[in-house]
Amino acid sequence: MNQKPNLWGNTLQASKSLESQDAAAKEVKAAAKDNAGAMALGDILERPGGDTRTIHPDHAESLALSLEALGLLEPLVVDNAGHLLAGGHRLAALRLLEERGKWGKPVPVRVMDFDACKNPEEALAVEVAENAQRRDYSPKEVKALADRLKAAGFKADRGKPKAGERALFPALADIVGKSPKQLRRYLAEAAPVTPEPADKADALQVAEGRLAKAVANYLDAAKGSRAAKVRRLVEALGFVVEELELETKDADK
Amino acid sequence: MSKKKPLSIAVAARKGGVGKTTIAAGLASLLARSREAMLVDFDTQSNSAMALGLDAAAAGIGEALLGKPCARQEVPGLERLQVVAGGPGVENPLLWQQPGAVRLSRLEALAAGRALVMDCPPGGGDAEDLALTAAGVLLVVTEPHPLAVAGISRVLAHRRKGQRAAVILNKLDSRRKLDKDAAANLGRFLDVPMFTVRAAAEVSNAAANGVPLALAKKCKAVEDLLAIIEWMDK
Repeated sequence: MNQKPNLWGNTLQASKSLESQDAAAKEVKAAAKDNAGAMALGDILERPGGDTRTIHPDHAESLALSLEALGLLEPLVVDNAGHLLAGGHRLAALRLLEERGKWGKPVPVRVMDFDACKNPEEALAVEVAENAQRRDYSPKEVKALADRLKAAGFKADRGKPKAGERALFPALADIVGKSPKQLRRYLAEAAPVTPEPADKADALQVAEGRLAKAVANYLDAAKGSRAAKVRRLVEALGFVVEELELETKDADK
Repeated sequence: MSKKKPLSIAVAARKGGVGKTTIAAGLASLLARSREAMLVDFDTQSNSAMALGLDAAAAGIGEALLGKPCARQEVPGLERLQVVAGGPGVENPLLWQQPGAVRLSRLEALAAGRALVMDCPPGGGDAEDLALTAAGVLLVVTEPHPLAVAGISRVLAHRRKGQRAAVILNKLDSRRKLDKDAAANLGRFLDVPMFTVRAAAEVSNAAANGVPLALAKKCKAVEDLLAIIEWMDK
């Protein structure tokens, strides 16, 4: 049997078309992975330079309750070494659950392909973007989340929950990033029910309290970087404005 | 005198059965004659450990890359060689969902300055990607047959910039026309050096009996592997 003079060259040439398919397949896989990362909770490292925002234990605690009931809906964001970029409160809440033996699963993460130690500006940009742009949940989605929380024992009653009870709306507000009041409206849109009297004083008080806290933080030289303090102040202002707008709309009706 | 970086070698191929494990285990055992070495098996089959007479089911690279304890198995008679088995743990999705730099730093910590030989699974994939990222030298194994040769360039396409690479034409039997033709002509179509490793009954006997090539009866294949080590050490 005589070999063709360039059998090996032809063979290698023929496999060239597979190379480009390999590259395309790799891209598809990388894109899919971007949304489906996961890490062991213990492997997630602290933000280089520590948390830029104060972790509020109350907030972490209420998040822990909803995480226990719903799981982690929005992945944490980490850099390529596993340093946290966004989701400080969610991470604190997960750690609380782990301490209590209520979280043993891998944590969904989105991996950003850079090293936060070498690119601190990029890390801050991710954090700010993540905090500024929370996912917009539709009223229907909010309703579905509320139903799951109710099934897990959260109560939708107004006023302070009784001892041992967990309040639905603050928990939902933590997840969705909207005020309890707005959420009540969402739920009403999703499934029309008899309108309930608005708790104007409560909502405004919360908004004012938040603003006062942000101002106090801003004036306190020891609390975080200037940029972080300004950001918190702006966030609080936005919150108050939102509440006022809702009040005005209510008054117009 | 500047200390040279220890060798880090990925042994890969697209086609199965071309002798990746034999080459990887052979090279690791021969390297251990002159230095501290480690063989890491990235294949779910975990044949590397078997070929060296070790426990293929021991906690291996799947565990190590998740930061869990793994067995660094020692080879009797070759004190300077450690073997980390493969096995189903390699397919744990969590391994590949964690950030890339995490698994890479765990692999480097595992090798801890030893010469590292990584036996990749056939067909490419995450494990091969990791090995190729960690490796200073990429060895693409083929046999003298077009179906094996067709995979060479697909592996070489993943070579990192500045990474040394060579093709190993394995199981060469000069009595066969196709083999002779490959030995004479294949290299002309490659842009990396090509080494040949001659077929030898001693090689398959050694693997079947769990004896490292460095301790087996001397044969042509061992001479060929030593020539590859010499090239990598340059």
